Order: sequence, then C-alpha cells, then structure tokens
Amino acid sequence: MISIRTRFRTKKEGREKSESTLHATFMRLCRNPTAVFGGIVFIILALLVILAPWLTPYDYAAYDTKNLFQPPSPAHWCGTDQFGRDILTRLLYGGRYSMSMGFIAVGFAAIGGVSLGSICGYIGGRLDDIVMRFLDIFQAIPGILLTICMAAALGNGFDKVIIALSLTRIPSIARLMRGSVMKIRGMEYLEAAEAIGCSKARRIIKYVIPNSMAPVIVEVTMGIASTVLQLATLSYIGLGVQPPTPEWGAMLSDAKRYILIKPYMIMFPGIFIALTVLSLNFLGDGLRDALDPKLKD
Amino acid sequence: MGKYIIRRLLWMIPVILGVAVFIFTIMYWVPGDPAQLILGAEGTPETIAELREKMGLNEPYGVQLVRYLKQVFIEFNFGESYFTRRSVGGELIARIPRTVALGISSMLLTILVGTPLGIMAAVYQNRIPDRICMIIALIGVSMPAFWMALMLVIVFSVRLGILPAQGIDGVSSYILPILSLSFAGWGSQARMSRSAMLEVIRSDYVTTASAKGLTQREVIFKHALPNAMIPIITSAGGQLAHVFGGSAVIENVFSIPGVGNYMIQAINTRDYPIVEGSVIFLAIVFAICMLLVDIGYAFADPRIKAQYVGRNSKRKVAAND
Repeated sequence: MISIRTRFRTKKEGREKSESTLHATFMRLCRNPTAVFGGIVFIILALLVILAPWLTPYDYAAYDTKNLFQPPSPAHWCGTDQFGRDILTRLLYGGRYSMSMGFIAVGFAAIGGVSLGSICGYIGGRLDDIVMRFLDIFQAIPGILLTICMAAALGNGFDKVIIALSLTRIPSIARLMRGSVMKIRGMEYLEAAEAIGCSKARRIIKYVIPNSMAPVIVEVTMGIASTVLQLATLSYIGLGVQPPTPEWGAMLSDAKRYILIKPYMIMFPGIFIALTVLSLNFLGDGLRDALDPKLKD
Repeated sequence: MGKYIIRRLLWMIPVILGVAVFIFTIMYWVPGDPAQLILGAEGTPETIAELREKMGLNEPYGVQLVRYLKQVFIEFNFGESYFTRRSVGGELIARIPRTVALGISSMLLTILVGTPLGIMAAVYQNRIPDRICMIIALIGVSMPAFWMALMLVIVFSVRLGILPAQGIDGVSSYILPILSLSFAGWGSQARMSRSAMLEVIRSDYVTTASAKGLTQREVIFKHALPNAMIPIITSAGGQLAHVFGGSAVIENVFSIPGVGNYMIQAINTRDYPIVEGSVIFLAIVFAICMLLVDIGYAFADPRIKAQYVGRNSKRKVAAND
C-alpha cells in the first residue's frame, strides 16, 4: 500500500509530505519533556507579561509612600521597592521590555546573519574572504565587551540598545549559516535550479536559505535567551534601559543599593530573568534534537 | 609545527589592528566633545577650542586614526586618562594580574566541574543522571552572572558574614567572584563534554573494549575518555571568551580593580583612551590565550600534529621536484 502511494504521488500528496516533515518535527518536540516544559513556562510568562494590566491592581510607576520597602506579603507577593511600588507589577511590565527587545534584536540579527551567511556561503570567493576576515575582527573582542562598547558608543535609548544587541549577534549567526550553506552547496537540486535558469538571488532565497535554516533556528532561540541576559547585564551596568523604566536589569541595578537591608528586591527580578532564559534554552535544546534527530545521540 | 605557530602569530597582527581600528572608529562617533568633557563646567568656548587644537581633534578622521594606531603599535603607548592624566598602559599593566587570576581560576573551576558532569551525562545517556546533569547545566547558563554574584553576596557576606563582598584583600575575597564567574560556564562545558564523549562511546574500539569483557569503568576511563579529551580541551578554550567578557561585569559587581572594571568605569565617565586601550589590551590577551590553547591541543592530538608534519614533508618533496 505504502509503495503504491509513493509511486503514484500526486502533487497534493507531495505537499502533504512536506507538511508531515514539519509535523514530525513538531511531534518530536512534543515528546521531549524538557522542551515541552520550556515551551509551557515561556507561554505562561509571555501571557503574564502581556496581560499585566488586567492581572495586577497596582500601577508600576506610581509612588506609594505609605508602603515603602514592604517585604513579600499577600498584598504584595514580591514586596515593594524604595518608592512603595509593587515589585511584581514592575516585573510584569518590565518583562515587556526585556522580552520584546530580546525578540526584536535577535530578529534583526537573524535577518542580517542569514543573508550575510547565505550570500557568503553560496557565492564564496573574494566576498566571502573579506566578510569572514571582518567577522574575525568582531569575534576577537569577547562577546559582552563588544556589546558594552557598542551600547556605550551608540548612547541611551531603546532603539540604540536594540541595534547594539543585534549587531553583536550577527557574526555568530552568519558563521553558522555560512557553514550550513556550504554543506548543501554542491547538491543536485541547486544544480538543477541553475540549469533551468534560476538567477543566483532566486536560488539563494528559494532553495539555499530554506534548506540550511535548521541550525539557525536553534541558534536564534538560544540567541533570544542570551540577548535577554545581555540586555539585563547592560542595564545593570547602566548602559541599557535606564531606571525608572521597569526593565529587569535596570530594576536589579536600582536594587543593588539596598542589598544589605532588602535582599528580596534583588531575588525576584533575577528569578524572572532566569525563568525566561531557562525556558527559552529548554525550548532551543529540544528544537535542536527535533530538527536534527541524528544529533540527538 | 613551528610554521603553524608562526602563521597563527602573524594572523594575530591584522586581527588586533582591525580591533584597534574598529574600537577607535566607534569611539570617534560617540556623541560628546572630549575637550568639553575634560574642561567640564570651567571650559569657555575659547579654552575648549584651544584644547581641541592641542589634542588634534580638529583633524580629519583618517589622520586621527593613523596617529592613534602609530601611538599604540609603534610607541606602545595607550595614551593617558582624560581626567587623572595617568598613563593608560601603566594602569592596564597594574590591573591585568587580578583579571588574569580571576579568569584563569574560574576557567579551571569550570573545567573541573563541567567536564565530569558532561562525562557522567554521556555515560548514562538518556537516563536519569543524564537528565539531571543537563538540567543543572541549563540552569547554570540561564542565570545572569551578576545576579548570581549578588545572591552569593547576600548569602555568604550579608547573612553568614564569612566572605568579603567587595574589594580584594587576600585569597578569600576571590572566592565569590570566581564562583559567580564560573557558574555560567559549567553548562556549556558539560554540554560540550557530553557530546564529545558520546561520539567516542559509539566508536568501534569502545564496542570492542566492552566486548572483550572489560568493566564499564575500564572502558570509560582507559578507552573512551583519553580519546574524548581533545574536543573537551577545545571547548574549554571556548570558555575563555566567556570568562574574559564576563569578568568585566563580575569585577564591577565586586569592585575588583581589574581591567574590566577599569573599562566599565571609564565608559561611565566617557574616558575614551581608557576604553580603547582596555579593549585592545583585552583583545591581545584573549588572542594570546586562544593561541596557547590551539597550540596546546595541536601538541596533544597526534592527528593534528601529523597533519602539519605531513604537509611540511609533502611541500619539501614538491620543492625538491
């Protein structure tokens, strides 16, 4: 039965086949308990952050001088800060900055890295040499230092921080994409595409990129995780988002002054950062296994 | 082998030059006028213009860049701080021992903890110890290092009062910085060791070793581990980048007067010569460390060594022809 179906595969069934690869990947992902756990935690966090205005009765910016430095209690689950603002409320609103900036920065980096990597990997030659040497220079400066310098040079502001975060992530994505493209460069289907008269640009967009995206998808998921960390670090040393904006790193930077008397002010933002990053890492790890079953063992 | 080392050393030159050009360029475009910064509130338009002229800030970008490169790479002079007027090079030399001590010891700790975790995960692949090791590893990667540092300070300095929270007096003040800096590395080291070990465990000679009746312990420690060591050492080299970058933030948290903290403070005061000097300096130290790691494993791996010996003799043959 199966052999007949494959022998007489119609166009419609051919499309079903490609859907089923996606489906199979998804099923493999669903069978991985840590990945499912990561996915669920991330969705919950994202929902909490998006629905923040409906979930909390407090205002994240309004001062409440009667309730300064309240320790965690039923009224304020994570306590209040030096201005009496509810910390949980600030964490939920702050997640909007941390998560969206992480996503946007990595999104830009992915666009830049994938196009650079696929062009270099597929076309090769002089261009490839020059770009790769340029990336060598970028990578000679240890990761976070590069981000710190870029952020310092560009100055404050959400857009500038996002630019700094995404520029520093481009080299690793480009390198990965290039390696992945080079593996498929000699494949027959690319020769076939060339033979039927596809232009270079069309070949890259239609065949090269979709067929070498798998490792990049993993890198991007993990990249969001580490960008959230980097953003927190930048804000902590005063280069990212500035207080009183309730970004997680900025909150930590603010809370550091009270480390001796109010340790809970430091504990909760860190837990939120760690949970977000951990869930994305679990998801990325599961994606790696699901996209490439060979790598798993 | 000698050729390999020389080629790697020569390749360092354009990379470091590139780093210098790059960092000078981004600092050049930073908004704000250094002359204005130095003179502060006391500066009048005339004195600012005079200082700009004296510092050569009115010259075009290219001239300033070449002058800076000449100063750094020919005179080995990183300039002086805008505010304290102290030589940046001297300060860097005075600070580097602390950064290196912090970096090397946290790298050692990372290797000592991460590698066994990864090996255990590989040996018990897909069983409970594997899952536990990998979850610990991922948790380590997911925590911000500076937050980890703050939490350690809360527990060991504020609550228990047994370790100092700031500065450096004696060995005990290095314990918390080393712990918080290495914690993030455990995960990636464990992950790399796991995959290196898994690759070896599936090879034929390991199957043979267990087939001839060796105990699992003997198979793992005598046959699998020595062969997995090369990729494990390589991945440990990758930890360097992490440690060098991370040390800046950790030094800042613990107020350790190292290179990284020097740089971060300079960024906040906009003392550009310090920022440029520190980045170039760290890039050089980083490149040298990477080179040492590369040479180290080229020596450790007979295959890589043979590759170079083989290539050299081939070349000699070709030359004789």
